[in-house]
Amino acid sequence: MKVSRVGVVGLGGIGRVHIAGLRRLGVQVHGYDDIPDARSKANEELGVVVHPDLASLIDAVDVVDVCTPTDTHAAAALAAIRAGRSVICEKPLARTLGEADALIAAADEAGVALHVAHVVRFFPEYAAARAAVAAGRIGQPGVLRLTREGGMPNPNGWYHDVARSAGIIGDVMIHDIDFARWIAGDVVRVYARTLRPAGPYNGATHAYALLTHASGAISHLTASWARTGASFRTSFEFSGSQGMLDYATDQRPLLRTAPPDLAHAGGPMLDEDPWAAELREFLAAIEGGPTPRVTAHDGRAALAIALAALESAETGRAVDLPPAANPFPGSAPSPAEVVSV
Amino acid sequence: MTSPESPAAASGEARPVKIGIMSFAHLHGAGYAGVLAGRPDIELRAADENADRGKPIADGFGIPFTSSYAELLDWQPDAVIVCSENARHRVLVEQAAAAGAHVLCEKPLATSLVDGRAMIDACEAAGVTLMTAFPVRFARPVVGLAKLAHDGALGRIHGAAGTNPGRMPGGWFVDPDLAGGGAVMDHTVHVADLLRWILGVEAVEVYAQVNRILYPDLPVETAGTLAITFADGTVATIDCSWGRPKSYPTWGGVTLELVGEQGIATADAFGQTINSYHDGPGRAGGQDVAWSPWGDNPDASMLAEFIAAIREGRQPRPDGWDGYRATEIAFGAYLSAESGQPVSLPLPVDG
Ligand SMILES: NC(=O)c1ccc[n+]([C@@H]2O[C@H](COP(=O)([O-])OP(=O)(O)OC[C@H]3O[C@@H](n4cnc5c(N)ncnc54)[C@H](O)[C@@H]3O)[C@@H](O)[C@H]2O)c1
Repeated sequence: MKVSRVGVVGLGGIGRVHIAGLRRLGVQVHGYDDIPDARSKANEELGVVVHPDLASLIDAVDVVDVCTPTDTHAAAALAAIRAGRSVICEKPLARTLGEADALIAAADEAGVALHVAHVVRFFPEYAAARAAVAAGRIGQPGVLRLTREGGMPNPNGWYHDVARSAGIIGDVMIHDIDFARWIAGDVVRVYARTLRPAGPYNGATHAYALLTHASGAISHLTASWARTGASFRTSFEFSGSQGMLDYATDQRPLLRTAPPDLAHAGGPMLDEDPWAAELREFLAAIEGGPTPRVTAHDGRAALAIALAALESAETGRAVDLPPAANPFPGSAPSPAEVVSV
Repeated sequence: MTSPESPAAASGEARPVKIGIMSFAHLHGAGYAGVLAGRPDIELRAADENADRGKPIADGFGIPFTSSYAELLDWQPDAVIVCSENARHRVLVEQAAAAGAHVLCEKPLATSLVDGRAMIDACEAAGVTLMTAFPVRFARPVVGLAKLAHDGALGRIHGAAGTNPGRMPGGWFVDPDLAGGGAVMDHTVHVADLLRWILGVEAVEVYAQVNRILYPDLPVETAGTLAITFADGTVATIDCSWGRPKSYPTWGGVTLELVGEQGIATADAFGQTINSYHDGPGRAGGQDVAWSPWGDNPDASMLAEFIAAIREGRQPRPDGWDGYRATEIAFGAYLSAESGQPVSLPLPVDG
């Protein structure tokens, strides 16, 4: 099936990023947002063909791309799937596991594709690290450390309502939860602490989690909205039986300027941003190409780990996860496969 | 410039561009083959008078190989990429031009101004274009730095400091007859080209100091530092030394700092890397530390410009004169190092 029209639901922060990526891919972009002002802005500023309701959008497009707040993913995605449309959904796949399972089942039943936008797998530095692990560079992963820290998101936003966003863990840490699982495989136990309450709901703005993978590997994850007055940064460190990989977004500035803001005027540092790259891979899959590097089942698994972390933070107890239906061992080659690297 | 059967043909489906690689003496030849091999829009072949060197590389990429440059040119390629030893660029470029092929020539363009001028003239006389391989212009951080300068975000540029440190390359690179010199010849031209391109003016004076303290047994200089004055008064320096030891995590790099009226900006051209450490099974083997690149490949962007120019029937950038002027700064540096005083540019062609 040729994809020529994609409908973006939710024309906010990430919706606009998707619109730019879709434009680059040469598809016609339609849009719907339940706030009329957001619709007219997207139409005037971005030239998006906007629709007055969700049904009209779904009717007009081949693929629906869900970019609404997390607790509304399922309703929008289900409506599209039931109308026979393939769906791309922002992470987390849904707010609850019940919703995630319903989405996967509905997509299977309707025979349409369901993709979840775990974009970290498409950042070239993260993809390079995964490729190095898959090539055996670090041997068997043993200890992983991933950090993702920024300032407070919009203080009046839905982000701060855990019931809507799944909080700092469900919104921010879930990126690295998915990536840690891609590297070291399924997770069997989670322990998490949340701290530094702030914002309109006095919710946690900083979190640590310790994941135990089925392989025995341990991941230490940090997610934060407490990095005030400084730019967003991420880092990783993967230690294995034979070596190690590490990286931080601020380890080696590509364009260092005084004054610091001047650097933005230098333009992008990649031909294709990771969001455009993920959309390209999803659309290619919908058109009959190879399975993308992340699937809805991966999205469901990441959500299960994130929700277990939330539960652990509330109860103070470690939470065991049920064994995966289709076990995923991670990306490292088995010792038998490693000859020499 | 565009013949009737040119791939730039205005009507119908464009046919693949036929490209021949002439010599794999310079390792970049294999890098370019890696970018071009197996693409539906390119037909790629290679020749190397040294079949022991060239054939395994060509076989590795699955491209037809011959040890005869004449045979490669009989195939009537649209374009060639010359990756021979520096001193042999001229003869291959002249042969390719005579056969009507556009030329991408590895840097440094030539080992004398006479040769460089002859190559430019030969291409002009044959109606083919000459491009010099300066891929660093296409590295994203450098593109960003150039944008800051060209958009005026830095204000007037007063000064610049560039580095192109590397590992000592060995082989013919340290043979003064084949390479035309040592570190100065090898590593001045990339940054010199960036400076001319970003500043948009020519160098009028160069001062340089060189030495052989690193690898004292080699017959060429292994370290050097230049100071250049441009026509608008901008002062720039270049470190072209083979200063990176073998244990350094990567081959080298390029950095460039611009000091402007409104601010300072520094690009790290090859800064898109992750750190990678390997101790082998049981962490008991030899130790290997590497900075693995993950950014866009500047070689691929440079080749895209070369191929687009062929299809569009236009001159690609950087051109032959860019290659010539960059080497002129290196030749001036040698003269200055000898005399101990600044040298005025341009140099006479037979200088
Ligand atoms: N992958 C990433 O890098 C990334 C980054 C940011 C956000 N996200 C995810 O994207 C989603 C959206 O985040 P955001 O930052 O763009 O939020 P946002 O608040 O900036 O935008 C959401 C938009 O959706 C609209 N909306 C709300 N409910 C709707 C509904 N039922 N139907 C139609 N439109 C509706 C809102 O009016 C708003 O314009 C979240 O799930 C978030 O976790 C992912």
